[in-house]
Amino acid sequence: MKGKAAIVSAGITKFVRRAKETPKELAWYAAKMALDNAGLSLDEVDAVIHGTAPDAFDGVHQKAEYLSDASGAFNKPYIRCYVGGGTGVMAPIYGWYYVASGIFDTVLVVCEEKMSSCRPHPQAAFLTIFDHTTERPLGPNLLWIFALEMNRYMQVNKIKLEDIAMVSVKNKSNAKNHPSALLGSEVTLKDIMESEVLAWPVHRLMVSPISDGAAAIIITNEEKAKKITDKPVWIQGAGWCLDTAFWTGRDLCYPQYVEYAAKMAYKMAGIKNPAKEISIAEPYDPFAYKELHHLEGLQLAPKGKAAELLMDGHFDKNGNLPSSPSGGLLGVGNPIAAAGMMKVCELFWQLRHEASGRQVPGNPKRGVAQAWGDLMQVGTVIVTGVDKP
Amino acid sequence: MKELKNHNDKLTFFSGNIPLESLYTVGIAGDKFFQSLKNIGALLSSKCSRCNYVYVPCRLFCERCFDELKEYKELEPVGAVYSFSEVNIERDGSPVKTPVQAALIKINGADSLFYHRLNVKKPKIGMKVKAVLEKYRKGSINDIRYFEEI
Ligand SMILES: [Zn+2]
Repeated sequence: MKGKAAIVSAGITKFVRRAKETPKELAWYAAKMALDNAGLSLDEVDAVIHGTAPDAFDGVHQKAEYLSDASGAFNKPYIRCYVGGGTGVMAPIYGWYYVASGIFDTVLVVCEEKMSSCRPHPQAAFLTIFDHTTERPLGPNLLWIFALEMNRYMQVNKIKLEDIAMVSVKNKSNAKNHPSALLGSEVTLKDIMESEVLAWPVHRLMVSPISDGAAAIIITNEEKAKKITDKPVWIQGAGWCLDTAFWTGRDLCYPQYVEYAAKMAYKMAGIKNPAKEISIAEPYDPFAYKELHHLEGLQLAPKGKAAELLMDGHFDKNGNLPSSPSGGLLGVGNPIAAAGMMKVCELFWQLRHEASGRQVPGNPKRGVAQAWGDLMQVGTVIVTGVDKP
Repeated sequence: MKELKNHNDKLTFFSGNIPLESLYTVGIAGDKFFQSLKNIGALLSSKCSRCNYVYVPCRLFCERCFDELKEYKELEPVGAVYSFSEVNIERDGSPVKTPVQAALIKINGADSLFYHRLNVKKPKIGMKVKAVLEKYRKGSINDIRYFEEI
């Protein structure tokens, strides 16, 4: 990696079912908090990146323009990052290459989503992402196709539904200690298994809740980082990759594109054995099975074996490799772009020992955050750590 | 930050929409596919002569090799269930009247999967299925009523 870039500050709103704030107001809260935590004024920001998912959620076309003032973009270079659900990790990657390239010293990265505006349900926004002649007339939505993926993943790897449900138990419990959390609580395996079957094998409590919220970080070069904090969190690696845009062209059992994205990031970070060299994982978990699927793609579990490691406690907060100590999307909530960014923020707080009740034990040196999206073909991966790359 | 509890508070939010409609294009390969489905009840595939991948529905180009696909072939609408779901809720979250059986089907002779509905007693991965076609077909994916067990 050429120039060095560090995350020096983070800000986040509460994730709620229906916020009284407008999308702009949400974005401003998070951006302002990140600036205040760094002790920076807006004048000291050279460029702004805004990450936000479909325009249809907020019900505003060209949503990035609408959100620009609230993201601090007035009179500044500004760009929108948008790769569906992968946005929340891709936006910080934009921030990293803006700084690592040497173009800007200090950038503000803001992610916002207000899903409650969308009626009758935000899922309706996804009805139009399928092929308009061969698939849409059949009425599929994302929930249906994830159900198909989950079923295939379980069948091929012989994974029990109960084991997948344990991801929900773990993440909702971890989220109890997250101040932004919408759904933090102690739920039992029985609660999950007895929740309504939305689309077999997906149960209601295996799905993250739609939410409103925003999160922001500040990324600077080495020189500025030193002035702002004595605990910068360095961006050590970044990777992103696409699978085929035709979801009917994938095997559904294994997220190859996440592997490619992870390998790109690991190579940059000089990581040879990710399962040993990474202390904390924040894989994208909009559905319980996706956390396991993604841990495999991230090379943190052998193919088809993430469920076994989960059941051994390997991914618990006090396990060998804590996964989603934040509480993840299943516990904290899923305002799409802001949810991915929440994972990047979590690594920032964990690596600085600022995660209070969620703090993982020991001295975590390095974390990986990952998001996933579009028509489930985008993988975005970022590796951050306490050591300068 | 405040969470909004009262959904009927007229001062807090109001209804509106983005008024748009679309006239969608079937496309070069799509036109061939639907002609074939309508006229002879077959699923038209196209094969890449470089990587041999067979796409169904047929496409104009191979995303892997970026070549134009010129080898079209009619496939029988017969295959095996690759994965399935039984859907119990409508898009607004309300319960459906009859559960929908959504499925990915591996059509015999194709490499890509084919998305459609099933109408079987107990769906299973690997189950052999065939398409049940409408008698009067319009050139739509709904000319296939569903797939049933063979
Ligand atoms: Zn090819």
